[in-house]
Amino acid sequence: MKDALQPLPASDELPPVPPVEARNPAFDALLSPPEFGRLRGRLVRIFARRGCSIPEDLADETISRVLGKLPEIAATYEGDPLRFIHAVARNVYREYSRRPRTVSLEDRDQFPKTSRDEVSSKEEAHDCLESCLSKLNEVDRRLIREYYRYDKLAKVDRRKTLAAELGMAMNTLRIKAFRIRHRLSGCVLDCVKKSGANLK
Amino acid sequence: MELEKTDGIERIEELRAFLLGTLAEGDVERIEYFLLSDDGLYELLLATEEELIDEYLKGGLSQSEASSFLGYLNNLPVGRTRIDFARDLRESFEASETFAASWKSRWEGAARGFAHLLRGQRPAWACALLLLSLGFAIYASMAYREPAPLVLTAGLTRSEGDIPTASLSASEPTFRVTLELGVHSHDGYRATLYDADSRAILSSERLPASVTERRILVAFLIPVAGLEPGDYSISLEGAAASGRYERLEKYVFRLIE
Repeated sequence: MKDALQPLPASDELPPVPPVEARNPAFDALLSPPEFGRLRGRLVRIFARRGCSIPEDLADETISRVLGKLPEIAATYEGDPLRFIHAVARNVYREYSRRPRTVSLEDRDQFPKTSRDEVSSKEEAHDCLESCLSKLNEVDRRLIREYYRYDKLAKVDRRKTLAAELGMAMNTLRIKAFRIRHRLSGCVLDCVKKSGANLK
Repeated sequence: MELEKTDGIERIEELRAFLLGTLAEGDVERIEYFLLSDDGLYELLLATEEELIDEYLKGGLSQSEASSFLGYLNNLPVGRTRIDFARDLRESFEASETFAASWKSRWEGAARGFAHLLRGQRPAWACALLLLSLGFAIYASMAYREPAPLVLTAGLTRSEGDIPTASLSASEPTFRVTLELGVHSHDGYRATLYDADSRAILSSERLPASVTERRILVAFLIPVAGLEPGDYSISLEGAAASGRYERLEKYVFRLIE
């Protein structure tokens, strides 16, 4: 599925967490844990949205280049370090987009078919989901059920009503529902791993 | 987290367009920068991703939107897992809604009949119908909340009357048997269902044990299709480090109509 790309220079040599050698406190803060992990996750999404099939490698490449530039710029750089990082990311993307690659149209337009035909695996995942749902407190369980209901009613109206009932702005409700769902998803993944089920 | 700062329907529309790949390049760069710098907006993007996954599963995205969005998800490290999870969540919620909707329609039907009887000045019939409906609803709701999990204990069956019994239900595609264990001795277990003639019918491997303060339980989900009323047994084995299974316990139960 991944592109037949020429290898990125030195991306394999990147350490998982880069040493902090920057002498600029703003860069220091961004390139140290836990901010570093957050920054990397956002860069991955930015590259993925730009259609890059190796977004993690490109995010690492971006951070590697920023770290490489720091000795030159850290002492004198003024302004938002994220502007600098974003500019480096755009350069990494431009170089990536100029590389020759082959993408199968079939692969590009289709999400890989899941091979979850095995009844037992699906049942295990289902059991895990039910178990994790039951571990949520009553308020969260009700909120996520109401928010992600799949009936034919006007979804927007229903969510507005729910937000009003809970005294929240719509996007606050949206993020709250997402956090519960994210927690639930993590619980299901853990449970499936423990029970040896294979979701893939 | 500055959630309120990012509130507004236009933000959501912009994030949707970003995720669907329909935003102009200049706007893409602006959104990218905000995603790097604004925690609230980034989390809103993650929430919008989930909602788009749901829309995709419902067939709510156009072909070009779906293609673009799937391309994006496909590039993310855990994109496929998230689609699988969303599908499971949808099935779970749909199942509970179908149940609720069927009871809602039954209640509405009963209410209509009750009103009809009242209009026809037959209060005695109306009261009888009301009492009957209430009784049935209480019985049905109790039955739903307690889907009679069959808990089996090894080696305690002394006579015919002691055999644990479960009912086959046409509305339930599976029923759950919970096997009680004396000792949690293995990381995984295998349960095999046998009919009265000791023919193996089905088997589930890698079953985990739930360890509570008082009990050690292994859940075994059995599809109802093809099962006849009669006596059955379940053999439980533990997975040894060598990969082989060691016989642990045998459980018996009876299925009735």
